[in-house]
Amino acid sequence: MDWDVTLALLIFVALAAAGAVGGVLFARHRLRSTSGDNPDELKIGAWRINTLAGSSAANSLTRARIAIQALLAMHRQETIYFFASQDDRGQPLDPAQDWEITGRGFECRWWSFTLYDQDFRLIASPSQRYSVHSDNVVPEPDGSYRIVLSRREAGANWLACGEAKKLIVTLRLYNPTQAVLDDVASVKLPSIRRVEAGRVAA
Amino acid sequence: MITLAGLIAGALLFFVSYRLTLHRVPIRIMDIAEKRMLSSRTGEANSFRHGQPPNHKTQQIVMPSPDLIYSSCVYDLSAGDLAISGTLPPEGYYWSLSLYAHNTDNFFVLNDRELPSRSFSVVVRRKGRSGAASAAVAESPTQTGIALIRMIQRKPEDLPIIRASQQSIRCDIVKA
Repeated sequence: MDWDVTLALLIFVALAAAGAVGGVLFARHRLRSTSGDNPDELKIGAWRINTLAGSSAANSLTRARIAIQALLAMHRQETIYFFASQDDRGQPLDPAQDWEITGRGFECRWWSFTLYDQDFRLIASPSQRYSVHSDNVVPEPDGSYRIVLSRREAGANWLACGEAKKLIVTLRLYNPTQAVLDDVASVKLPSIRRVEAGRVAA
Repeated sequence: MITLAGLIAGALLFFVSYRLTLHRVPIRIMDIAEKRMLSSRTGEANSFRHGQPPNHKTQQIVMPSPDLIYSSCVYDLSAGDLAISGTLPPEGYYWSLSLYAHNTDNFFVLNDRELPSRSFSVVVRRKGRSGAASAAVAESPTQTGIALIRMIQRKPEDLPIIRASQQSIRCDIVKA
């Protein structure tokens, strides 16, 4: 075969192969990204929500991300899921630090905060408590709540960070009201802030 | 010229492989989840397995809710419709039945507030299949999938009430 033809074929195959591999790598990159590059997703303060999680109307990126991060999620009429891996200022939730989540209740039948590690797994807790929810939360005198994420014991609304390398907080709203369903972005989501060492206990 | 053709082919393959990867990921993950669930119940589809309260040692899937106890069933509609029925826990306990297609879509949910009584009966049928049914019909876009029943556990003492409801669940193939 002519050398020029061989070279041309090699160039063609190399470019085509680079395209194919690049497509897979780009898909993998987008599956790991949390940069708000998905039209199905909203970012509200520290929180992210995918409004079409579990829905047949979801785009392929949503479907794949939910499969990896929250397999068997219910569609939003049943449960709305909010996720946070950063604080209000955009700092990653470092498990070596202490964090507080403060806010008020939600318009739904039942709500719950759960802490997961970098692999979306529950974190071992000496208190055997893995969530703070609308039934077991101990409110502040003004009716608000303060939940503490820490490696050290930190009062009634403590969620243990254990040996996690990263933290992901999930807020679930079960059976949200129609007003919430009509305008998810209007939900008053809690603040997440770092707590200075020694000021953890409520 | 050949470089231009290569670039065009590369761009096309980039797009195709990107779309294909996103399309395949949820199906592959459901394959794994269904196989894992089946292996834990000796390979038997169309039967429910009742889980333990999720914790860092017992969790079976990513991001389980630690407040819920799950009953799960890998369904296969190749031999006919699947009839699922049972009794709910007493009023005040959140209960729901969710059905997931093989691409992870949650195509059906029924919760305790939507039921007129404390019992339920649902027929899962492959979309496009016809026939009479004595209960509400949920049309599955795929032949296989997962049925998940969630029940809330507010405190450890709730467990016997939840277990009683779980034991009432019946799951039978109705021959086409």
